[in-house]
Amino acid sequence: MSGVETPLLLIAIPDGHTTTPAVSKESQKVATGPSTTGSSNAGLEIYNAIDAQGLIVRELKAKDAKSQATKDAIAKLLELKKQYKEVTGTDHKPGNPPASQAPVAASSTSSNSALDIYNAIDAQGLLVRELKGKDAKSQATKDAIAKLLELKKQYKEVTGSDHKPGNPPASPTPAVAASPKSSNSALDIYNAIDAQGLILKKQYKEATGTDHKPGNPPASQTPAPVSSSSSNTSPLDVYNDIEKQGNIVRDLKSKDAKSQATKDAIAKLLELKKQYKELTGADHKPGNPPVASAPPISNNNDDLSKQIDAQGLIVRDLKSKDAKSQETKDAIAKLLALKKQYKESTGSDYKPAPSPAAAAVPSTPVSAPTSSIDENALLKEIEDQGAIVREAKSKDPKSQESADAINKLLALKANFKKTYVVMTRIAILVQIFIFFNFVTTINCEGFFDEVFQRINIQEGTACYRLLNGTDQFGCHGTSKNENGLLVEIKNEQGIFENIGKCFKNIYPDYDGMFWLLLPVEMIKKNTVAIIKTSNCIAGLVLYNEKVFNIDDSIEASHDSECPNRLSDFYKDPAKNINSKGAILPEGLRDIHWDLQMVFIDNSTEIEVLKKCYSLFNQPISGGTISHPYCGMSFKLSNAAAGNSDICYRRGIDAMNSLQISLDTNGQNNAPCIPLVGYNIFGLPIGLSTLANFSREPTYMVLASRMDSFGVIADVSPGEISVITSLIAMISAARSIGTNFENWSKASKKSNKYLMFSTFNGESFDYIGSSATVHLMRNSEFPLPILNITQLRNINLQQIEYVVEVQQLGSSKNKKLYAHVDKKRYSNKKEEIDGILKRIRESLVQDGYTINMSIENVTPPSSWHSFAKFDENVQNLVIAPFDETYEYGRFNSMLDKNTWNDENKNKVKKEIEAVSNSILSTAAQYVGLENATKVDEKLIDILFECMIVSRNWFDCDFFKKLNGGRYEFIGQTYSMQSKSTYIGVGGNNPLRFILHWLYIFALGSDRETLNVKDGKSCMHLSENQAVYSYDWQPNPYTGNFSCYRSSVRFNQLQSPAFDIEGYSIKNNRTYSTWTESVYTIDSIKLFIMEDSSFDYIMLILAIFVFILSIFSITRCKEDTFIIDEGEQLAESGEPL
Amino acid sequence: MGTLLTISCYIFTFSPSFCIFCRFIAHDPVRIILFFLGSFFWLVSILFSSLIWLLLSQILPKPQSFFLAISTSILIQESSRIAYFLLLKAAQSGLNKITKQGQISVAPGVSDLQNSRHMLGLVCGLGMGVISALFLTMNAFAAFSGPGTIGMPEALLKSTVDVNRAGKYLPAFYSASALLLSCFHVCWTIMIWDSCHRFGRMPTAYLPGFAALITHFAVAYLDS
Repeated sequence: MSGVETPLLLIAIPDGHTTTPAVSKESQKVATGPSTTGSSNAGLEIYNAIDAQGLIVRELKAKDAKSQATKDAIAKLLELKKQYKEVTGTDHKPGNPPASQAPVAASSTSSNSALDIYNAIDAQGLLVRELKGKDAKSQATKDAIAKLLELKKQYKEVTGSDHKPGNPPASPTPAVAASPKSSNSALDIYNAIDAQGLILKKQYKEATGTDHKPGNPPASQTPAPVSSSSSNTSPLDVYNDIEKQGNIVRDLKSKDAKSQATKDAIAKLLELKKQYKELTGADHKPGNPPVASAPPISNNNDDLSKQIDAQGLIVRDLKSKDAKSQETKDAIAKLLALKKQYKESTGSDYKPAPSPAAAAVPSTPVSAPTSSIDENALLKEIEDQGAIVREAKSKDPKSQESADAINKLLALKANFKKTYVVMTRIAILVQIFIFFNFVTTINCEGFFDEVFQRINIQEGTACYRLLNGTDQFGCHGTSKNENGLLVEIKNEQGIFENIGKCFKNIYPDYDGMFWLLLPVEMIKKNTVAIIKTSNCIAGLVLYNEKVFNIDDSIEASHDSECPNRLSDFYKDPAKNINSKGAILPEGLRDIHWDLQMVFIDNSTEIEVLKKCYSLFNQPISGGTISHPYCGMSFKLSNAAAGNSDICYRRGIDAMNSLQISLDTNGQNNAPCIPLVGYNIFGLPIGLSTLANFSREPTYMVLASRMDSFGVIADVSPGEISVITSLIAMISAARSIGTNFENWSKASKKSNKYLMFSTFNGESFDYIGSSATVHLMRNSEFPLPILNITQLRNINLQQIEYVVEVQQLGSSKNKKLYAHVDKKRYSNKKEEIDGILKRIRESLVQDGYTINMSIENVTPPSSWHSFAKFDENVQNLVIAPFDETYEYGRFNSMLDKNTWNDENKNKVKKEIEAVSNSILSTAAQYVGLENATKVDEKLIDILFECMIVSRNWFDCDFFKKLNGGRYEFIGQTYSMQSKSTYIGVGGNNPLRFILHWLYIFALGSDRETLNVKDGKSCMHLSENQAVYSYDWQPNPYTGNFSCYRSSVRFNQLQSPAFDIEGYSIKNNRTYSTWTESVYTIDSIKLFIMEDSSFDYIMLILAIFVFILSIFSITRCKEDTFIIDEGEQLAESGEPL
Repeated sequence: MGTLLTISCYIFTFSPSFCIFCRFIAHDPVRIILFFLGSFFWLVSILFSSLIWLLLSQILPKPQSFFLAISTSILIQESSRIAYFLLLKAAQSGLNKITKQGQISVAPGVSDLQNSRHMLGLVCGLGMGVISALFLTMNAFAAFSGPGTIGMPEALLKSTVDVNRAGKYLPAFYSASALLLSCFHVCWTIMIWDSCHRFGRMPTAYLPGFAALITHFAVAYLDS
C-alpha cells in the first residue's frame, strides 16, 4: 500500500524548490493533502494551460502574426511559462508534462489501482499455492482460488490486459533509447535490485551514494540535492540536518556529556526538530525521512511498514545464518507482530513496497509497442550484461564478481526468451547426465540402442504446422504417418512408376506407408501432385543433392503464384507474378499436408539413410524384395490445430484459467505463437526534436525485406529472394553515411528525409510493414510518446515514397524494371518522372537498361501495407522482373547457389548498379545534385560474407563486426545455419548482422571518440531518443568504439494480435500467421520383420499355456513332498 | 509386430510359471512370501553382479570383462541361493510353528512343512526364475511392441545383414529361452538346496549342486 503512493515524492520535489512561503504552503498542501485525487496539481494545470495557450498563439500567428491579439496571447503564454517554471523548477517543454503527473492520476484513482491488484494477485497466488500444497481440495483452497480469479478479473478490468506474473501493470520505462532521467534510473536500479542482487546493489550505491535497503526507494534521495540548493525550509533538508546534528551531539556526548559545546549542539538539535515539526506536521523520527509523509497514509503506517521491512531483513539474515536458533525465532515473532500491527492500523495486509518506478509511469495497459520496447530493453540489458561479464572474466574469472555477473547474465538471458529457459534446463539436465556418465563411465547401451539407429533432427528442419486466421497448413505427425518403409527415390521415374502402385511391384508383401528419401529439387510441378495425392506416403526426407547455378532455369518456388494475395492492397489482384516459378499455384506452404517432411543437411546422416535403404530395401534390378526391410519412424507433433483464432485466442484464455497460469510463471502457454520479427530502421539524419515545424518533414522509405521461407519454413537461404537486396541497401546506406555532410545539408534544405527500413515477415502477409504502419498511425513510430524528449514521431502522412528493391542478381540481359502504380503516378507525374530519369541515368552509367512498368497492379512489396492506409504514398519497385518473376526459386528451400567468378561478378555488378540507382533516387528526392557512388569493395565483402560463406559468422568481416557479441546458444536450424525465416523467437542472427551493419553504415564515432568503454557508451543513450549509441567494433579493424546512429530495431508482430477485439478469423487487413508449438522425435531406423508370424506366435503361446495347465495340474503336492524318512523333516523342519 | 505379439510373448514365457504359481503357491500365504523372497534374493544378487561388472569394465577390455562378469554373476546367484537356504534353515523352526496343522494360530491355507524341502525349493526357485525371466525379456518384449526388431545399428555398422539372425522368429526364441530360464532356476534351486541339505551327511552331496553350477554356466555361455 505505502509504496503505491511513493510517486508523490516526485511531486514534493519541485515544492521544496520554491522560496516564497505562500507557494511553499500551497505545495505542501499538494504534497500532503488530498493531492491523490490528481486534480489540484499546480504544475500540471499550468502545463495544460500553456499547451492550450500555445495552441491559441499558433492559431493566431497563422492568421495574423502581428495583430494585437496575437501579441497578447504570446504575452500570456510567456507569463504562463514563467509561472510554470516557478512551480516546477524547470523550463516548460512541450510533450513533457511535469514529471509524475500521470501516475498520480493513474495510481490514485482508487484503491483498485492496477498495481495494488497486481500485488494482491501475487499475494493471493502465493496463498493458493500454499494451500494447494497442503490440501488441494479443501474449502479454504477453493475460496482462495475464487478470490484469486476475482482479483485477476478485476485486474483485467483496470488495466485492460491479462494478469501475467512477473509483469507488473505499469509499462516499464527503461526503453533503450528512451531511458528515464537520472532519478528514474536510480529507481530502475532499485527495482532491479530485488531481482538481480549484488551487482545492481553496487551500481545502486554508486548512483545514490548509499547502500541499498529494501523498502527505501532512492526517490527519497533525489529531493535532497534539489531542495538543498534552494533553501533550508525543505523537510528533507531539515531532516538531514537533524541527523547530522544528532551525530554531532552523540559524538560530543561520548566525549564530554556536560561541556558547553554539547549543550549548544543539543539546543540546536532541538531547534531543528521543532522546525522539522513545523514543516512536516509530524515529530522527527530517526530512519523516517520526511518524504515518507507525502502519501496519505499516516506516518505511523509508513513507519510500521519500514519497521517491518527492516525486521524482515533481520529475519532473512538470521535465517541464512541459523534458521532454528532462538534469536531467529524471536525475530520472526517480532516481524509477525509488526505485520499484525500494520494490518490493524491500515486495515490491509502488509505487502512489500512495490517498486516505485513502476508507479512512476502511467499505468496504461501494456500494449504492443511498449512490450516491444521492453523486449528491446531486455535485450540491451543482456548485451550490456554480457559486456560486464566479459570484463569481469578478463579481470578474474573466478572472482565472486564475475560469478555474480555471469549469474545475472544467465538470469537475464533466461528472461529473454522462453526457449532459452528450456534450453538452460536441458543444458542442466545434459550436464547432470554427462556428469553421471563421467563419474561412472559406463559404456552402457540401452536395449533400444540395439533396435533403433537414431538420427537427431534439429528444431526447424522438420515441416511443422503454420496457421492463419482461417486454416492450418504444414505437416503433422500422427500414428498413421509415423512409421514407414524407407525408399530412396533416385530419379523422377521412380516417383511416376511406383508411387501410384504404392511400390507393390517392389515390396509385394508390405502394405504399410513409405518414407521417401529424395533431394529437394525432386519436388517439382509434375511430381508434387503425385506425392500429394498418394495415400501410402508417410513422409519425405529431403536433402540437398545439387546446388544450382544462378542461371539454371529451375522452377522451384515454394511460394504461391501470387504471393500475399489476400493481404494485397489491390484485394485479390489475380496477377500471377510467380506463375513461372511456383511449384503449385497455391504454394507449397499453404497446404495442409497429410505427410511429414524432414530436411537433413548433414551428409553423413544422409549416407546412413541411403545405406539403410541399399542394405535392406533395394531390389535387384526390376525384381521384388521381401522382409526384412529398413523401416523409418519420425514424428512431429503440433500443439495447435484449426486456425490462429482457435489456438491463439483460446490458448490465451486457457492460460488465464487457474491451473496453467499458476504453474507456468506467466509464460504464454498458447499452443501457437504469432510470428514476430525484428525490423531495422536506419535514419541517416536523426529525428527532429524541434517544438514546431514550419512544415512537417517528409520521408522516402528505402525498403527491403529480410525474410523468406520454404516448405520447411526455416530452411530458407533466401539468397536472391532477400540477401542481394539487403546488400544493395546496406551499401547505399554506407555511401550516405560516409558522405553524411552533403546528404544532411540537402535533406535539411528540402525538408525531405530518408529512412532505410528492413521489414521482417513480408512473405507472411507483410507482418513487419503492416505493424510499422500501425505504429505510424498511432503516432508511436519509432517510439511511443514517452515524455522524455520532444521527439517528433513519424506519421504515416509523412511517408511520400516507398522504394523497394527485389530479387537482385536474377536479371536477364542486364535489364531492370521500375514498377510504379499507375493511378498514383498520375498524381505526381513530374516528380516521379524526375526520379525515374535519375534512375535511368545511373543505371545506364553502370551498363544496365531499365524499363518503366507503370501498371495498374504493382508487384508484392512493402508498399502495399502503406498504401492500404495512405492514399498518397507512392510506390517504386526496382527489380529484374517485369510481368513475372525471372527467378524460379523465389522463397524456396533451394534459393541457394554455387558461385563461380563469373556468376559472382554478374550479381555483384547488378547489386552495385541498383545500389547506385537507389542513391540516385534518394538524391533526386532530397535534392542532391550529385549522388555519391557505392563502395564496390564493400559489396564484394558483403557478398562473400552474406552469400558465399557457409555460415553467418564465417567471414573475417562479420567475425570482427560481431566482436564476440553474438554467441550461438540454441540448437535450432535458424541459429546454426543461414536461414531467413521470420520465426517466433527473434533468434535469427541475421537481424543482429543487419542491425550492426546499419549502425556501421549510418553511424559515426566521430562525436564520441572520447568514450572508451561500452558502459559509458550505453549511458549516452539514456537520456534521449534521437540517437542510439552502440559500442561495436569497426568491421574492418575490429576495434570497438561508440557509434552514434539513428538506427533502431523494433520487434514487431502483426497488429492483428495487438488490436483489441480484432477478428483474427474474419478480418483480412493484417497478417494472422502463427506458428504451432511442436515437439520432434529423432528419426529412428529399424529392421522391419514380417508380421505374419505374429499370429503363429499367438497360437504358440496359447498352446504352451494349455500344455502347462495340463502338465502341471497333473502334479500334486506329493510330487514335490517326498518322504525320505528323515526325523526332522517329518516333524516339520525339512531343511 | 505390435501389442499382440508382446502379449503372446508374455503368455508363452510365463504360462508354466503361472500354472505352478496357481497350483502350488497361490493358496498358501507363507509360500507367497517365500516366492517373493526368492525374487528379492535374485535381485540382490544381480545388484552385486552389476557392481562387479561395473568395476571390471573399468579395468579390463570388453570381451574379458564381459565373460568374467558373467561368471561372477553366476557365482553370486548361486551364493544367493545358498544364502537363502541358510536363512530358511535358520527360520524353519519358527515357520514350522505357524504352519503346523492343529495349532490355533495357524493361518488358513498354509500347508505343513513336513518333508517339503523340494517344495520349498520349487517355490523359492520359481521366485528367482520368474524375476530373472522378466529381466531377460521385458525390454525385448517392449521393443517387439514397436515397429522394429533388434539389429539395425549393428547391420549399419557392419554394412551387412546378419545371416544367422533369427528374423521373424526372434520373439519365439526369446520367449522360449526365458521360459526355460525360469524352469532352470527352479531346477537349480532344488539341486543346490539338495546339496546344501546333504552337505556333511553324504560324500556325494556336492554332485547335484555342482551339476547345477555347470549347467548354469553352460546356459549363460550358450546364450551369449
